Amino acid sequence: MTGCRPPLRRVVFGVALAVLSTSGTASAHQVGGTRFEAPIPLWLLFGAAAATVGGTAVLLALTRSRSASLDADAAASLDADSAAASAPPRSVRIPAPIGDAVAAVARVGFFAVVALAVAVGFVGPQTPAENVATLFVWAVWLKGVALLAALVGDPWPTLSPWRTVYEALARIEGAEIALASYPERLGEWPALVGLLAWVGIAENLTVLPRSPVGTAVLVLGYAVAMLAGGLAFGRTWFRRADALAVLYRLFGRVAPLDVRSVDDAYAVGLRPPWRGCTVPARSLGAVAVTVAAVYTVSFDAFTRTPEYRSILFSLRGATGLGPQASVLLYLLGVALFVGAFVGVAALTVRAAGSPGWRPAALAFAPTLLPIAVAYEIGHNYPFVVRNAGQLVGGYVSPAAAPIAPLSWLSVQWFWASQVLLIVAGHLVAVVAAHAVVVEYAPSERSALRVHAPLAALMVGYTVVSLWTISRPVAA
Amino acid sequence: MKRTTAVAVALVFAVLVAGLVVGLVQFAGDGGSLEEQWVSDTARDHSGNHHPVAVVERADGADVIAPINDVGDDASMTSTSCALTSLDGATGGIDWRAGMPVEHCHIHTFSDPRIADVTGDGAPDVLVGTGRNALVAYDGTDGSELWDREFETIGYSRPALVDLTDDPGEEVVAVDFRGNAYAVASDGTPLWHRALNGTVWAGPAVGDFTGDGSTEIAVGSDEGTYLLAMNGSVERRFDATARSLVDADVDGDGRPELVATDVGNDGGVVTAIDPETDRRIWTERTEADPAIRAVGDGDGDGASELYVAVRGGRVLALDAASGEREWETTIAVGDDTIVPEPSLGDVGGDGGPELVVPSAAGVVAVLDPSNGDELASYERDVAVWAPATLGNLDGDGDEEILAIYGDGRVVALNYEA
Repeated sequence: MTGCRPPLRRVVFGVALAVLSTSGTASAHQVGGTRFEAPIPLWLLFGAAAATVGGTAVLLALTRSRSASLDADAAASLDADSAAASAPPRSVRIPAPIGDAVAAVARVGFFAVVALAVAVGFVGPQTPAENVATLFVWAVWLKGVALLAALVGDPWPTLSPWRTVYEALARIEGAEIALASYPERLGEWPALVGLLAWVGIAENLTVLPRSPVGTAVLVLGYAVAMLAGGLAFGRTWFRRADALAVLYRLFGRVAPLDVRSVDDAYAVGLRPPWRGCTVPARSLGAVAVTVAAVYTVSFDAFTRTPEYRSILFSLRGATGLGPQASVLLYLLGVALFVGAFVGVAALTVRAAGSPGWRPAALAFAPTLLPIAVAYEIGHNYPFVVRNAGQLVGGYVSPAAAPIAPLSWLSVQWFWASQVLLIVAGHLVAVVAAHAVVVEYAPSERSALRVHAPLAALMVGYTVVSLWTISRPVAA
Repeated sequence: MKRTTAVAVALVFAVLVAGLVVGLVQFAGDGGSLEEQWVSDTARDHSGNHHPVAVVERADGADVIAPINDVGDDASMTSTSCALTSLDGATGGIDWRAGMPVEHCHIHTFSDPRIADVTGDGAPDVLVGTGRNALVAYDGTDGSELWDREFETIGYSRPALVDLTDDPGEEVVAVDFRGNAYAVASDGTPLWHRALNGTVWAGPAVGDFTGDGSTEIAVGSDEGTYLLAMNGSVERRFDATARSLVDADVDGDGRPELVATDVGNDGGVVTAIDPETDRRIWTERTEADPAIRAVGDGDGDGASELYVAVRGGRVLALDAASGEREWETTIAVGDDTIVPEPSLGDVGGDGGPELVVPSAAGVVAVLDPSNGDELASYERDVAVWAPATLGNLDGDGDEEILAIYGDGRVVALNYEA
C-alpha cells in the first residue's frame, strides 16, 4: 500500500484541487478551500515588506530635515476647515454652477436610490442577492462610498440622505434648525458608537446584511436618529455624530484628488496621499474612530483565519456564550487597539520629552488613515464591484447574462493586489507619520528616536496585516 | 420654528416612524430564525472538508457521524487527524473517533457515510469509503472496525443498501472513484465487482428503473450512466454523464426515473432519463456545475420539483416533468461561488418542507421551496462545500440542520419558523 501512496496523493489532491482550488473566488467574503503556494516564501515576503516600511522610516528620519518634511509645515499649521479655503497650487477650476448642478444631481439621485432601497427592502423579494436594499446599502453605499472617498475625497456632505432631508427642512425654515448647540463633550463619540454598531457588529458579525427588510429597518432607524439629532443640534450633528460622515471624511484625507470651493468655482487638483494625514484629528473621539476603522477592517480579515476561530471558540468555552462571543471579542479588540495606540503616542512624547499624550494622539491618529484606507480598498473592492455588477445586472438588464466584472480575478491575483495595497498604505503612513513626528523631535538628530515607536507600530502592523490576509489562502 | 417647518418635520417623522414600525413588524413576522445548537470541536487547519455528515436517529437520542479529513505535512499529523467522528446529537461532544494512519490521511480519507445496521444487532453502524482504498464498516456504538472491502482507489460517494440476496437484511453496493462497483454482504463478504471505467462522484441510485419487477443499481460516471442488475452485470448504458444522480418519478407513472447533472462544455446540463424506454425525457442547460440531491413537491402543487445548485451562488427549481425552471435565485454573490446540493425537509415543524442550501460563502440558508425567498440564514467565515444533512436530533418531530464547514467543525442549527 505504501508504494501506491504518491500516485494516490496526486489523485486525491488533484480531485481536491479540481473541487476547491479552482473554485476560489476573490472576495473579502469568499476564499477557496485549499492554500496556494505563494510565489516567494511568506516569511521572505513579510520580512521584505517590514524592511521596506522600516527602511523608509529610517531613511526619512536620517535624510529629511524638519523644514523639508514633505510640505507638512503648511498643512500641519492649518486645521481641516482652513486647509480647505485655499486652492491647490495646480488645479482645474470648475465653474460653481456646473459643480453645484453635478452635486444636486448626485444628492437627489442618491436620495432616490436610498428611498427605493428602503421600499424594495419591504416589498421586494426577500433574497439578499436579488434585492436592491441589501445589494445597495451594504456594498455600493457603505463600502462603495468609502472607496469613493478614498479616491476622490469625501462625498458624504453631498450624498447624505438625512442631511438632504434636513437641508430641505432648513430651506422651509429659512435658517439652520437647531434647538441647542452641539455639546462639545460629545465630540465624535456618537460616530464611534455608530461605526462599531453598524459596520463592526451589524455588518461583520450578524446576518442582518442578508435581510432586505432588516436592512431597510436599519436605514430607517438610523435616519430617524440622525434627523432627530440634526434638528436638535443643527448641522454640526451631521458632521460629528454621523458615523458615516466621520468615517468618509477621514478616508477622504487620503484621497489624491483635492476638491475645494474657491471663490466662484471648484478647484480640483492633485495632492500626495499623505498630505491630508498631517492635519491633527479634532478630538479624541475622532482618534478612536480612526483606530476603530483600522481595527474593524483588520478584524474582518482576521475572522477568516484559523487562529481567530481558535480564540473565538476558546472564549465561547470560557464564557458560555454562543455566537455573541464574537461581539465581545470585537469590542475587546477595539479597546486593545485604542489602548495600544495611546501607548505608542505616550512613548513618542516621552522620547521627545514633550508633555502629555493627548496632543500627540490627536496628531498621530490621522497618519494611520493610509493603512485603514489601503486595507479597506484591498479587502472590499471585489465585494463592492461584484455587488454593483449584480445590482446593475439584476435591475437594469435583468434579461441579459449576469454581469460578472471580476470573473477574471483569481484568488492569487486578489491576494497579490492586497499585498501591494497594504505595503503601499503603510509606506504612505510612514511618510505621513514622519512629517508629524518631526514636529515633536527636539532636534533633527533625535527624529529617528522620536519616530521609532510609531514606525515600529507600523512595521509590526505591516507584518500582521500581510499574515492575516495570507493565512486563509496562501502557504 | 415656523409652523410650516413644524408641519413638515412632523410629516417627515410620521413617514419614517410609520415605515420603521411596519418594517419591524414585518422583520419580526417574516421568515424565521436559525439558532445555533452547538458547534463541534473538530477543527482542522484547512478549509477543505467537503463530505457531508450522517445522522443516526435512536430512541434515546441521536448521533452525528462526521467524516473529518485533514491535509498537511506528515510530521504535523497524527492518527486522528483524519477521523470518522461520532458527535453527541444533543451537545456536539465527541463520543468516539475512528482514526486513520497518517499515510492514508488526506482530504478524501472519509467520504460520504451511510448509516446501516450491517451486523443485524439492531444498532446502527457506519459504512464509509476510506483513504486506505477500502470500504469500511464501523460499529456505530464505539467506532470499532467491523470489516473492510478493498477498493482499487478511494471511495468518493455514499454507499447504497440493496437487497441483493435471499439472506435477511440488505447488502451494500459501493463505487470507488475510478468506477469500480462492489457488492458486499452485510458481514463484509465480497459478492461481486464490476469495473465501469469512469470517474464516479455520485452515489449509486437504487430502484426498479426498467419496470421489470427487479431492482437495478444506477451508477453515474463521466463516461455515462449505467444500470447494473443485481448480479452486477451491465443491463444498460445511457450517454448522459453524471456528476450527481438522483432517482425521481418525473413523469408520474409511479416508477422512478433518473436525473443526472453534469458539467458541460459551456455551462452545465441536467438530464432526465427514462430507463424503461431508454430515452431522454428532457434536457435543461444550466450555469456551470449543476448538482442535485433534493426532489419533492416543495410548493404543494402536487407535482415534484428538482432543486439544483449551480456555480455562481445560484439555486434553480425545475419542474420535474418538463425540466422548465419554476424559479431561480442567488444565495451568494460571486462569479465562481460553489453551492452544494440543496436538501429538502421539514425543518420548521409545520408539516411542509423547507429547502436548506449551504454555500462556499459560509452561509447556510433556509429557502421557501415555492419561490426561493430566503427565510433565515446562518453564517460563519468558513466555506461550506458539502450539502447539509437533515435529521431529528432532539426528538421534537422536526428536523435539525447539520452543516460541516470546510474547517471540519460541524454546526447543528434549529430553524424556527
